[in-house]
Amino acid sequence: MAVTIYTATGCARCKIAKKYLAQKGIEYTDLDIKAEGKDEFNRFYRDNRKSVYRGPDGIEFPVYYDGQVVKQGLGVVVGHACSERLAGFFGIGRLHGEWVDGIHLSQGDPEAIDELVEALGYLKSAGMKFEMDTDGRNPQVLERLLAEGLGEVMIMRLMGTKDMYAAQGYDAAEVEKTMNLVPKFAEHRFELAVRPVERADGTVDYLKPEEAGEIAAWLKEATGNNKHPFVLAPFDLKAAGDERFAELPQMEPKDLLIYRSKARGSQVMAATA
Amino acid sequence: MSAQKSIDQMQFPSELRYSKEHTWVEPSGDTVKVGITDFAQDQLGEIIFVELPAPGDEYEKYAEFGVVESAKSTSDLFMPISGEVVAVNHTLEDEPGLVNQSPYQDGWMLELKPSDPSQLEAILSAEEYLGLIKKEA
Repeated sequence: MAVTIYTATGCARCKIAKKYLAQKGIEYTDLDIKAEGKDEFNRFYRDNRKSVYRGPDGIEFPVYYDGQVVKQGLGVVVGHACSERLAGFFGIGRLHGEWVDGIHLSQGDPEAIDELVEALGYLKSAGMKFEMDTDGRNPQVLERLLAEGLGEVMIMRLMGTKDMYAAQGYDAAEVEKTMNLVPKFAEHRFELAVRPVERADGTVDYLKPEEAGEIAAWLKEATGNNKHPFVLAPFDLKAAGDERFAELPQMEPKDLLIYRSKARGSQVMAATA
Repeated sequence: MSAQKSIDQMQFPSELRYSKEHTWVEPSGDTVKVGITDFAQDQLGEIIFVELPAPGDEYEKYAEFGVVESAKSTSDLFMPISGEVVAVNHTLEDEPGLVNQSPYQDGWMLELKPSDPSQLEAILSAEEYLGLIKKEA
Protein backbone atom coordinates (compact mmCIF):
# COMPACT_ATOMS: atom_id res chain seq x y z
CA MET A 1 0.00 0.00 0.00
CA ALA A 2 1.46 3.37 -1.02
CA VAL A 3 2.32 5.47 1.99
CA THR A 4 2.63 9.24 1.93
CA ILE A 5 4.14 11.31 4.72
CA TYR A 6 3.12 14.94 4.69
CA THR A 7 5.52 17.09 6.63
CA ALA A 8 5.83 20.71 7.67
CA THR A 9 8.96 22.57 6.61
CA GLY A 10 11.68 22.21 9.23
CA CYS A 11 9.67 19.73 11.32
CA ALA A 12 12.27 17.80 13.36
CA ARG A 13 9.67 15.33 14.62
CA CYS A 14 8.72 14.55 11.03
CA LYS A 15 12.36 13.64 10.29
CA ILE A 16 12.42 11.25 13.25
CA ALA A 17 9.25 9.54 12.02
CA LYS A 18 10.55 9.24 8.46
CA LYS A 19 13.82 7.75 9.64
CA TYR A 20 11.91 5.05 11.50
CA LEU A 21 9.78 4.22 8.48
CA ALA A 22 12.98 3.84 6.46
CA GLN A 23 14.49 1.58 9.15
CA LYS A 24 11.39 -0.60 9.03
CA GLY A 25 11.68 -0.85 5.24
CA ILE A 26 8.40 1.00 4.70
CA GLU A 27 8.52 2.81 1.38
CA TYR A 28 6.89 6.19 1.41
CA THR A 29 6.56 9.37 -0.56
CA ASP A 30 7.83 12.36 1.40
CA LEU A 31 5.96 15.60 0.67
CA ASP A 32 6.59 19.00 2.24
CA ILE A 33 3.24 20.78 2.37
CA LYS A 34 4.78 24.17 1.71
CA ALA A 35 6.98 23.06 -1.17
CA GLU A 36 6.57 20.29 -3.72
CA GLY A 37 3.73 18.66 -1.80
CA LYS A 38 1.51 21.72 -1.54
CA ASP A 39 -1.04 20.84 -4.22
CA GLU A 40 -1.20 17.18 -3.26
CA PHE A 41 -1.65 18.03 0.41
CA ASN A 42 -4.47 20.43 -0.46
CA ARG A 43 -6.21 17.60 -2.35
CA PHE A 44 -5.58 15.15 0.48
CA TYR A 45 -6.89 17.64 3.04
CA ARG A 46 -10.01 18.41 1.03
CA ASP A 47 -10.79 14.69 0.69
CA ASN A 48 -9.92 13.69 4.27
CA ARG A 49 -10.62 16.83 6.27
CA LYS A 50 -12.91 15.12 8.75
CA SER A 51 -10.19 12.59 9.60
CA VAL A 52 -7.43 15.12 10.12
CA TYR A 53 -6.79 16.17 13.72
CA ARG A 54 -6.25 19.81 14.58
CA GLY A 55 -4.77 20.79 17.91
CA PRO A 56 -4.35 24.26 19.40
CA ASP A 57 -1.38 24.83 17.08
CA GLY A 58 -3.11 23.59 13.95
CA ILE A 59 -2.67 20.33 12.06
CA GLU A 60 -0.45 17.86 13.89
CA PHE A 61 2.52 16.74 11.77
CA PRO A 62 3.78 14.38 10.51
CA VAL A 63 0.66 13.18 8.72
CA TYR A 64 0.83 9.55 7.53
CA TYR A 65 -1.64 8.39 4.90
CA ASP A 66 -1.72 4.98 3.25
CA GLY A 67 -4.83 5.51 1.18
CA GLN A 68 -7.05 4.19 3.96
CA VAL A 69 -5.98 5.48 7.34
CA VAL A 70 -4.66 8.83 8.50
CA LYS A 71 -2.17 8.83 11.38
CA GLN A 72 -0.78 11.99 12.92
CA GLY A 73 1.93 12.96 15.35
CA LEU A 74 5.32 11.42 16.04
CA GLY A 75 4.25 8.82 18.61
CA VAL A 76 1.22 7.67 16.65
CA VAL A 77 3.11 7.37 13.36
CA VAL A 78 6.07 5.51 14.87
CA GLY A 79 3.71 3.25 16.83
CA HIS A 80 1.71 2.46 13.71
CA ALA A 81 4.85 1.80 11.68
CA CYS A 82 6.16 -0.52 14.38
CA SER A 83 3.03 -2.64 14.74
CA GLU A 84 -0.69 -2.30 14.26
CA ARG A 85 -1.00 -3.98 17.67
CA LEU A 86 0.21 -0.73 19.26
CA ALA A 87 -2.88 1.19 18.15
CA GLY A 88 -4.36 1.53 21.64
CA PHE A 89 -1.16 2.74 23.24
CA PHE A 90 -0.56 5.85 21.17
CA GLY A 91 -2.82 8.86 20.87
CA ILE A 92 -2.20 12.40 19.76
CA GLY A 93 -0.56 14.41 22.50
CA ARG A 94 -0.27 18.09 23.36
CA LEU A 95 3.45 18.37 24.07
CA HIS A 96 6.10 19.37 21.58
CA GLY A 97 9.86 19.74 21.43
CA GLU A 98 11.62 16.76 22.95
CA TRP A 99 8.47 15.36 24.57
CA VAL A 100 6.11 12.66 23.37
CA ASP A 101 2.87 12.26 25.30
CA GLY A 102 -0.49 10.69 24.56
CA ILE A 103 1.00 7.30 25.50
CA HIS A 104 -1.84 5.46 27.23
CA LEU A 105 -0.43 2.35 28.85
CA SER A 106 -3.79 0.95 29.97
CA GLN A 107 -5.44 1.20 26.60
CA GLY A 108 -3.18 -1.00 24.53
CA ASP A 109 -2.69 -4.73 24.22
CA PRO A 110 -0.22 -5.80 26.95
CA GLU A 111 0.75 -8.74 24.73
CA ALA A 112 2.35 -6.18 22.41
CA ILE A 113 4.84 -5.03 25.05
CA ASP A 114 7.90 -6.01 22.96
CA GLU A 115 6.70 -3.85 20.09
CA LEU A 116 5.97 -0.99 22.50
CA VAL A 117 9.49 -1.22 23.91
CA GLU A 118 10.88 -1.19 20.37
CA ALA A 119 8.92 1.91 19.35
CA LEU A 120 9.73 3.80 22.56
CA GLY A 121 13.34 2.63 22.42
CA TYR A 122 13.68 4.11 18.94
CA LEU A 123 12.12 7.40 20.04
CA LYS A 124 14.41 7.54 23.06
CA SER A 125 17.44 6.96 20.82
CA ALA A 126 16.26 9.98 18.82
CA GLY A 127 16.40 12.10 21.97
CA MET A 128 12.73 12.03 22.90
CA LYS A 129 11.32 11.91 26.43
CA PHE A 130 7.97 10.44 27.42
CA GLU A 131 4.99 11.53 29.45
CA MET A 132 2.77 8.47 29.85
CA ASP A 133 -0.46 7.74 31.62
CA THR A 134 -2.23 4.77 33.13
CA ASP A 135 -5.61 4.19 34.72
CA GLY A 136 -4.30 1.21 36.70
CA ARG A 137 -4.69 -1.57 34.17
CA ASN A 138 -1.66 -3.31 32.61
CA PRO A 139 0.81 -2.98 35.50
CA GLN A 140 3.08 -5.46 33.67
CA VAL A 141 3.61 -2.81 31.00
CA LEU A 142 4.82 -0.31 33.60
CA GLU A 143 7.12 -2.94 35.12
CA ARG A 144 8.72 -3.63 31.76
CA LEU A 145 9.15 0.05 30.91
CA LEU A 146 10.79 0.65 34.29
CA ALA A 147 13.17 -2.23 33.61
CA GLU A 148 13.99 -0.75 30.19
CA GLY A 149 14.47 2.77 31.55
CA LEU A 150 11.67 4.17 29.39
CA GLY A 151 9.48 6.97 30.67
CA GLU A 152 10.30 10.22 32.42
CA VAL A 153 6.81 11.25 33.57
CA MET A 154 4.06 8.87 34.68
CA ILE A 155 0.54 10.04 35.43
CA MET A 156 -1.99 7.73 37.02
CA ARG A 157 -5.47 8.89 36.17
CA LEU A 158 -7.64 7.49 38.93
CA MET A 159 -11.03 6.47 37.58
CA GLY A 160 -12.94 6.08 40.85
CA THR A 161 -13.23 4.16 44.07
CA LYS A 162 -12.29 0.50 44.38
CA ASP A 163 -15.98 -0.37 43.91
CA MET A 164 -16.16 1.73 40.75
CA TYR A 165 -13.16 -0.07 39.29
CA ALA A 166 -14.73 -3.40 40.22
CA ALA A 167 -18.01 -2.37 38.58
CA GLN A 168 -16.12 -1.91 35.33
CA GLY A 169 -14.58 -5.34 35.65
CA TYR A 170 -11.11 -4.09 36.56
CA ASP A 171 -8.94 -6.09 38.93
CA ALA A 172 -8.29 -4.08 42.13
CA ALA A 173 -5.04 -6.00 42.74
CA GLU A 174 -3.75 -4.85 39.32
CA VAL A 175 -4.71 -1.27 40.07
CA GLU A 176 -2.96 -1.42 43.44
CA LYS A 177 0.14 -2.87 41.81
CA THR A 178 0.12 0.06 39.41
CA MET A 179 -0.26 2.49 42.32
CA ASN A 180 3.01 1.11 43.68
CA LEU A 181 4.81 1.25 40.33
CA VAL A 182 3.89 4.82 39.42
CA PRO A 183 6.12 6.44 42.11
CA LYS A 184 9.13 4.60 40.67
CA PHE A 185 9.16 6.87 37.62
CA ALA A 186 11.41 9.93 37.88
CA GLU A 187 8.42 12.27 37.89
CA HIS A 188 4.92 11.17 38.67
CA ARG A 189 1.54 12.21 39.95
CA PHE A 190 -1.89 10.83 40.67
CA GLU A 191 -4.74 12.71 39.03
CA LEU A 192 -8.40 12.53 39.92
CA ALA A 193 -10.80 14.23 37.52
CA VAL A 194 -14.03 14.98 39.34
CA ARG A 195 -16.14 13.34 36.67
CA PRO A 196 -19.77 12.40 36.23
CA VAL A 197 -20.55 8.91 37.49
CA GLU A 198 -23.38 6.68 36.33
CA ARG A 199 -24.88 5.15 39.46
CA ALA A 200 -26.32 1.66 39.84
CA ASP A 201 -29.87 3.04 39.53
CA GLY A 202 -29.02 4.66 36.20
CA THR A 203 -28.81 8.23 37.51
CA VAL A 204 -25.78 10.37 36.71
CA ASP A 205 -24.12 12.77 39.12
CA TYR A 206 -20.66 13.97 39.94
CA LEU A 207 -18.22 11.96 41.99
CA LYS A 208 -18.91 12.94 45.59
CA PRO A 209 -16.32 14.62 47.85
CA GLU A 210 -16.55 11.60 50.18
CA GLU A 211 -15.68 9.35 47.24
CA ALA A 212 -12.63 11.50 46.48
CA GLY A 213 -11.65 10.96 50.10
CA GLU A 214 -12.21 7.22 49.70
CA ILE A 215 -9.96 7.14 46.60
CA ALA A 216 -7.21 9.03 48.42
CA ALA A 217 -7.51 6.59 51.33
CA TRP A 218 -7.28 3.62 48.94
CA LEU A 219 -4.06 5.06 47.51
CA LYS A 220 -2.65 5.48 51.01
CA GLU A 221 -3.67 1.97 52.02
CA ALA A 222 -2.28 0.37 48.85
CA THR A 223 1.07 2.19 48.93
CA GLY A 224 1.59 2.94 52.61
CA ASN A 225 2.23 6.55 51.66
CA ASN A 226 0.09 9.62 52.37
CA LYS A 227 2.34 12.12 50.59
CA HIS A 228 1.87 11.36 46.91
CA PRO A 229 1.53 14.22 44.42
CA PHE A 230 -2.28 14.11 44.11
CA VAL A 231 -4.09 16.51 41.79
CA LEU A 232 -7.82 17.12 41.57
CA ALA A 233 -9.07 18.46 38.26
CA PRO A 234 -12.48 19.56 36.98
CA PHE A 235 -14.00 17.36 34.28
CA ASP A 236 -14.60 19.14 30.96
CA LEU A 237 -18.23 18.35 30.18
CA LYS A 238 -18.20 20.14 26.84
CA ALA A 239 -15.15 18.27 25.60
CA ALA A 240 -16.69 14.96 26.68
CA GLY A 241 -19.77 15.62 24.56
CA ASP A 242 -21.71 12.87 26.33
CA GLU A 243 -25.51 13.13 26.15
CA ARG A 244 -25.84 11.51 29.57
CA PHE A 245 -24.17 14.53 31.17
CA ALA A 246 -26.31 17.16 29.44
CA GLU A 247 -28.18 18.12 32.61
CA LEU A 248 -25.10 18.54 34.78
CA PRO A 249 -23.54 21.95 35.45
CA GLN A 250 -19.89 22.48 34.48
CA MET A 251 -17.80 22.20 37.63
CA GLU A 252 -15.65 25.24 38.42
CA PRO A 253 -12.22 25.19 40.12
CA LYS A 254 -13.72 26.57 43.36
CA ASP A 255 -16.06 23.57 43.50
CA LEU A 256 -13.01 21.35 43.91
CA LEU A 257 -12.02 22.79 47.28
CA ILE A 258 -14.34 20.49 49.22
CA TYR A 259 -12.92 17.53 47.29
CA ARG A 260 -9.41 18.65 48.17
CA SER A 261 -10.36 18.83 51.86
CA LYS A 262 -11.70 15.29 51.78
CA ALA A 263 -8.69 13.97 49.85
CA ARG A 264 -6.24 15.63 52.23
CA GLY A 265 -7.54 13.38 54.98
CA SER A 266 -5.41 10.63 53.39
CA GLN A 267 -3.18 12.42 50.87
CA VAL A 268 -1.77 15.50 52.55
CA MET A 269 -0.33 16.94 49.32
CA ALA A 270 -3.68 16.92 47.50
CA ALA A 271 -4.01 20.04 45.35
CA THR A 272 -6.35 21.41 42.72
CA ALA A 273 -5.24 21.77 39.11
CA MET B 1 -0.03 33.43 14.67
CA SER B 2 2.29 35.96 13.14
CA ALA B 3 1.34 37.93 10.07
CA GLN B 4 3.58 37.71 7.01
CA LYS B 5 3.10 41.29 5.88
CA SER B 6 2.91 44.61 7.67
CA ILE B 7 -0.40 46.48 7.40
CA ASP B 8 1.30 49.09 5.24
CA GLN B 9 2.10 46.42 2.68
CA MET B 10 -1.52 45.26 2.45
CA GLN B 11 -4.03 46.35 -0.16
CA PHE B 12 -7.50 47.69 0.63
CA PRO B 13 -9.11 48.92 -2.61
CA SER B 14 -11.11 52.08 -2.00
CA GLU B 15 -14.01 50.97 -4.23
CA LEU B 16 -14.83 48.04 -1.90
CA ARG B 17 -16.72 48.00 1.41
CA TYR B 18 -15.48 46.04 4.41
CA SER B 19 -16.99 44.28 7.42
CA LYS B 20 -15.56 44.15 10.93
CA GLU B 21 -15.36 40.37 10.44
CA HIS B 22 -12.78 40.92 7.67
CA THR B 23 -14.84 40.25 4.57
CA TRP B 24 -15.02 42.64 1.63
CA VAL B 25 -18.00 43.47 -0.55
CA GLU B 26 -17.85 44.71 -4.13
CA PRO B 27 -21.14 46.12 -5.46
CA SER B 28 -21.79 45.29 -9.12
CA GLY B 29 -25.28 45.99 -10.50
CA ASP B 30 -27.91 44.25 -8.39
CA THR B 31 -25.45 41.75 -6.91
CA VAL B 32 -22.28 41.98 -4.81
CA LYS B 33 -19.13 39.89 -4.69
CA VAL B 34 -17.79 38.79 -1.29
CA GLY B 35 -14.39 37.57 -0.19
CA ILE B 36 -11.93 37.95 2.69
CA THR B 37 -9.53 40.85 3.04
CA ASP B 38 -5.79 40.94 2.53
CA PHE B 39 -5.48 41.30 6.30
CA ALA B 40 -7.58 38.16 6.94
CA GLN B 41 -5.72 35.98 4.45
CA ASP B 42 -2.40 37.17 5.85
CA GLN B 43 -3.43 36.33 9.42
CA LEU B 44 -4.54 32.84 8.38
CA GLY B 45 -1.37 31.96 6.50
CA GLU B 46 -1.31 29.58 3.56
CA ILE B 47 -4.91 28.54 2.98
CA ILE B 48 -5.52 24.86 2.28
CA PHE B 49 -9.31 24.61 2.33
CA VAL B 50 -12.32 26.80 1.71
CA GLU B 51 -15.87 25.66 2.42
CA LEU B 52 -18.54 27.75 0.73
CA PRO B 53 -22.35 27.64 0.59
CA ALA B 54 -24.44 26.59 -2.40
CA PRO B 55 -26.22 28.94 -4.81
CA GLY B 56 -29.75 29.52 -3.58
CA ASP B 57 -28.79 29.57 0.10
CA GLU B 58 -30.05 32.61 1.95
CA TYR B 59 -28.27 34.31 4.83
CA GLU B 60 -28.91 37.03 7.33
CA LYS B 61 -26.27 39.64 8.03
CA TYR B 62 -23.55 38.25 10.37
CA ALA B 63 -24.62 34.63 9.70
CA GLU B 64 -21.86 32.06 9.36
CA PHE B 65 -21.58 31.06 5.70
CA GLY B 66 -18.39 29.04 5.41
CA VAL B 67 -14.99 28.11 6.75
CA VAL B 68 -11.48 28.90 5.64
CA GLU B 69 -8.58 26.81 6.92
CA SER B 70 -4.81 26.90 6.87
CA ALA B 71 -2.46 24.31 8.37
CA LYS B 72 -2.18 26.50 11.47
CA SER B 73 -5.70 27.76 11.99
CA THR B 74 -9.33 27.65 11.00
CA SER B 75 -11.73 30.57 10.75
CA ASP B 76 -15.47 30.87 10.26
CA LEU B 77 -16.74 33.24 7.60
CA PHE B 78 -19.55 35.68 8.40
CA MET B 79 -21.92 37.28 5.93
CA PRO B 80 -21.36 41.05 5.73
CA ILE B 81 -24.93 41.74 4.55
CA SER B 82 -28.16 39.75 4.14
CA GLY B 83 -29.00 38.12 0.83
CA GLU B 84 -29.22 35.08 -1.42
CA VAL B 85 -26.14 33.37 -2.81
CA VAL B 86 -26.32 33.40 -6.62
CA ALA B 87 -22.84 32.06 -7.43
CA VAL B 88 -19.78 30.65 -5.68
CA ASN B 89 -16.16 30.48 -6.79
CA HIS B 90 -15.74 26.73 -7.32
CA THR B 91 -12.13 27.27 -8.40
CA LEU B 92 -11.26 27.65 -4.72
CA GLU B 93 -12.10 23.97 -4.13
CA ASP B 94 -9.01 22.98 -6.13
CA GLU B 95 -7.00 26.14 -5.67
CA PRO B 96 -7.68 27.55 -2.18
CA GLY B 97 -4.33 29.35 -2.35
CA LEU B 98 -5.93 31.87 -4.72
CA VAL B 99 -7.36 33.53 -1.61
CA ASN B 100 -3.78 34.27 -0.52
CA GLN B 101 -2.50 35.21 -3.94
CA SER B 102 -5.40 37.35 -5.07
CA PRO B 103 -7.88 38.04 -2.27
CA TYR B 104 -9.86 40.68 -4.20
CA GLN B 105 -9.80 39.15 -7.68
CA ASP B 106 -9.32 35.42 -8.32
CA GLY B 107 -9.88 34.65 -4.63
CA TRP B 108 -13.46 35.99 -4.50
CA MET B 109 -15.77 33.60 -2.67
CA LEU B 110 -19.38 34.21 -3.58
CA GLU B 111 -21.82 36.45 -5.35
CA LEU B 112 -24.81 37.62 -3.38
CA LYS B 113 -28.12 39.24 -4.24
CA PRO B 114 -28.67 41.60 -1.28
CA SER B 115 -32.08 41.47 0.38
CA ASP B 116 -31.54 44.95 1.84
CA PRO B 117 -29.05 46.97 -0.23
CA SER B 118 -29.12 49.76 2.35
CA GLN B 119 -26.99 47.51 4.58
CA LEU B 120 -24.09 48.29 2.26
CA GLU B 121 -24.03 51.84 3.51
CA ALA B 122 -23.63 50.70 7.08
CA ILE B 123 -20.41 48.74 6.54
CA LEU B 124 -16.94 50.21 6.51
CA SER B 125 -15.04 52.17 3.91
CA ALA B 126 -11.43 51.18 3.16
CA GLU B 127 -10.19 53.98 5.38
CA GLU B 128 -12.45 52.98 8.28
CA TYR B 129 -11.44 49.32 7.92
CA LEU B 130 -7.76 50.25 7.91
CA GLY B 131 -8.33 52.14 11.16
CA LEU B 132 -10.00 49.08 12.64
CA ILE B 133 -7.22 46.63 11.83
CA LYS B 134 -4.54 49.02 13.02
CA LYS B 135 -6.28 48.91 16.40
CA GLU B 136 -6.47 45.08 16.26
CA ALA B 137 -2.88 44.57 15.17
